[in-house]
Amino acid sequence: MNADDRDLRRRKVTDAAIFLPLLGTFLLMPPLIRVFASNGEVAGIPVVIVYLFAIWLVLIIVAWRLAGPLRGYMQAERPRTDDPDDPPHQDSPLSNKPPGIGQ
Amino acid sequence: MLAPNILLFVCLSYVALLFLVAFVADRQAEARANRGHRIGWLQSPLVYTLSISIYCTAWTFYGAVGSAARSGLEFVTIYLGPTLVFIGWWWLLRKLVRIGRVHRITSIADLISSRFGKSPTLAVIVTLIAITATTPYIALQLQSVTLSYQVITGSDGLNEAATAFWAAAGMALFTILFGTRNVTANERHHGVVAAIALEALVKLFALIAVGLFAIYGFSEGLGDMFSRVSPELLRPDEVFGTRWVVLTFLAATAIICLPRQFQVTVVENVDEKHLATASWLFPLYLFLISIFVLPIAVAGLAHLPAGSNPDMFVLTLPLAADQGALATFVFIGGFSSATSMVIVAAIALSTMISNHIVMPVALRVTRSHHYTSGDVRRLLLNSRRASIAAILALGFVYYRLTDGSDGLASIGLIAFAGIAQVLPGVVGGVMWRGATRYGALSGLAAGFVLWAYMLLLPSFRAEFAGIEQIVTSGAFGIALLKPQAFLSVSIGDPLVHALFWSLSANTTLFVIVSLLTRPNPLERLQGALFVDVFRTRPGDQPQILHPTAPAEDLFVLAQRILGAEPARLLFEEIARGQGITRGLPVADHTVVARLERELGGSVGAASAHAMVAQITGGGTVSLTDLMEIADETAEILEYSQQLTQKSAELESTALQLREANAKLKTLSDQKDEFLSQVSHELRTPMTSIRSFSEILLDADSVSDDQAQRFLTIINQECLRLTALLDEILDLSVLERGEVALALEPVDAEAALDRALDSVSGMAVRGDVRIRIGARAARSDVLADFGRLTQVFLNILNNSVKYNTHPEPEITVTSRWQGDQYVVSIGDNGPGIPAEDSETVFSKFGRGSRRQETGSSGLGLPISREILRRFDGEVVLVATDRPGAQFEVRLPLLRAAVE
Repeated sequence: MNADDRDLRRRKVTDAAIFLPLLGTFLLMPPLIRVFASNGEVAGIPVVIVYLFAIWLVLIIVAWRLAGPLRGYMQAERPRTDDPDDPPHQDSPLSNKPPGIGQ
Repeated sequence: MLAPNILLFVCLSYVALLFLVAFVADRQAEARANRGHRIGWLQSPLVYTLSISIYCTAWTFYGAVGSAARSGLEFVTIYLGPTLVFIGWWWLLRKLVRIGRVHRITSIADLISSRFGKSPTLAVIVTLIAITATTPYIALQLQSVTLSYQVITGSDGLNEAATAFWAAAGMALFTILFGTRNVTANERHHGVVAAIALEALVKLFALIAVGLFAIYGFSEGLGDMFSRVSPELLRPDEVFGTRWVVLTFLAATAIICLPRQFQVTVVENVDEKHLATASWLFPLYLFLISIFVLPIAVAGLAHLPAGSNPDMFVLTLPLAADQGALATFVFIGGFSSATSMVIVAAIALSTMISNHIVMPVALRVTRSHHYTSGDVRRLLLNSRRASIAAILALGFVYYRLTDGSDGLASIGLIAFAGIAQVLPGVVGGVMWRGATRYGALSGLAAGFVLWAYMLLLPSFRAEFAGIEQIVTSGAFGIALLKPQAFLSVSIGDPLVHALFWSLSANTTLFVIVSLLTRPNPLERLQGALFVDVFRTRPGDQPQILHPTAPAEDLFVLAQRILGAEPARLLFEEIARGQGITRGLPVADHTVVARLERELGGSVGAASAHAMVAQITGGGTVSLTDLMEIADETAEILEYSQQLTQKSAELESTALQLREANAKLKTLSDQKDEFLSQVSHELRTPMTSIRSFSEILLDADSVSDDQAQRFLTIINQECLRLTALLDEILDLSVLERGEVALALEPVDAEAALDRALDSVSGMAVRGDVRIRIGARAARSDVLADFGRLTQVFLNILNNSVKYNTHPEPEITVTSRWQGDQYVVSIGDNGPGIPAEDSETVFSKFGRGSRRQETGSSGLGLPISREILRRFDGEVVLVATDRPGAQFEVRLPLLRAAVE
């Protein structure tokens, strides 16, 4: 994967991270959630409960999938701090770029 | 029912365990920090996530089931809001955590104060809001501990006040022991975090245990369980309305703004990357907590006697089934959720009180003593200890005052709505550079007042008749001012009503006042640093080395606040950075800014700023001026970059202009040459016409014979002039493309024959001999018959005119060459030198063989122009024979080729 692809992927992942809460809000707020507020049942459980918790779980899973790459991008853009807890690390011009560039 | 003694023993053992965990964690952290290591498991993302779960208090543990029993699915909103904020961490939380780390933020009040120019006033207001909103919440925790203790021991006669008092005292002791051990930078409390992480696990497992017990102890599984309750329980028709949206929003706000949440999420954060883990792990925690709430509520409604308190279903369900051990576990879980919330809230509030209220007062009092009279460090710790005790005492008093008046949930929501007033300042502060201190102040004040009037005040209506009076008929008896129907706007739900008015007023004032006021330099600097925190770094400041303050005074100040050893290490590090191996560093602007940030990590930005300013005098003000200069420098840089770009554009434009100019010059030169040639061509016949006409005018000396000859010459010259002018006109029309040639399939051979016929007269007169060689068959080309004839005629004429051979001879052949029709016209004249092979086709370009031939010299250019229109050409071909040979080439029509 070259630098261009990596850049594209990075943009896609961060875009997804920004879109995810908006999607969650859309799915879990009225009017959409009212569609499922019927008296139907799935395996004896009211359908709205199944819908609510299923969407919730899906959001968590997607957030989990996104967290990995996003963590990598955070590592890359870490600033210099004077924090004694931080292990000392050299600042180089490359430190603002995603990991792997130039390797 | 359990014997109080056993329960007390279990409870105290659990508390002892918490103390032990906190103690061990603190010791480990200290040991590791001294050796320069990271603190392994204590700083893992798991512990970080678990510490965030103090969001789930006793209100969740007991109250969520009560809420589910009363209002169906509504309880879910309290957990959906934080879920949405955490899965959307890339938006806001990431930025808050970064700002918190870079600027050593100690609390939510510090964040707002620091953003808006380190304003002490803002810090005080936010602190007051936080205290007002948190006190009822602490009272709620005390109530839940007391209530659950009563339920599990079954002793109604127990002294409620005593239980609550000892619970409060115990929590105060723990908090003081582990929450105020030191004032280290960034206010991290490893012992406390370890203890609340343990408590988070206990409360989660306790709730899951009861949930499983409710599902499988009372029914055959989920499906069976839901089949026994009426679907009315979920209230699907009413629950998904405005209140659903508002509650979700409120919960989302709370997870950001609640002082205790800010404390664990931002202040206690040791590594930004932990947030990535918490972004899904914390929602998962909430999901697991929530998923068992409904089954417990359903089982409670179905199996417990009517009239049981739904808020206690979690505890009464195992008790009813004689599950003493499970009930004890549940009690410990509830105890955990209450204590962890109280401990962290007390720490967060005490930090705010000591940094933003006690310190500024102390600064004012000791101004004349200049820090020589008291140890700031001890003052800080003591004021925090006192604050913790005071906060818990306040919670206890509130609990005694309002005991049993409200359902647990409503107090929690009132607190959420109160702290939500901070939201516009936080979000606007970190996203919008234009936000100003006055904007934040006015928004906060308005929102807080409206919240207190519309929501907090009515919550006391049962206790005080005066308040009941205000609620029913408005303040001062003015109906428009009714706290729950302000300006007669009827929004049924008091919570939605209060939130609508307070947040609308808050946000509107915040934005409008921000637009109307001008920020001071420090505000502008802080605004830029906060909003662009991912682009700027705190170290990126102008490196100008000249002292602004006595380094000794700064060192003394640092010692008093950070302690002797950390201060020495800090100053040594700074000195090393400046290349100084011994002694104190030069206290330039960078050092002052750095020191301010370090001290801010302990006492808050506003106090640190005030302290350092006392020593440096105008030093920090000039720092802000410097910042402004830096700002302007950045602008100039940007401007010069734009200029560079502009000048590059200009250069390329200039290049294009130069090229265009060169073309125009060539054209102009050609035109000049053309004009001079035309005038020359016109001049020759005009000269002879003039001279002969002058002779004729002098009639005496001319005989009739002579006159006749001269007139003939004049006539010939006139004809030549006309022909020349016709050709010039023809060429210019052709060149400008103004004449449309009618292209149609014509026989080129026929056109050649017609041209040969025209020149045959010359041959008859014996001027020239025309030899016709091999001829092609009928050759259809796309052309204009007349023009094509003209081309052949021109070339034939040329060959005759320029032929100086005593016996002039012209050879004409035609043939097919590929898909081209080619006519060759050769002569036995002097020929044309190779260097003139192009010139002959230019206007008047007769080449070096120029002589008086009676030709206009435009024949070949016109021929070439015509042939170009037919997609053909005329060229001079080189041969080994003497004389010139022209070839006319035209594309054959496809049909003719086949």
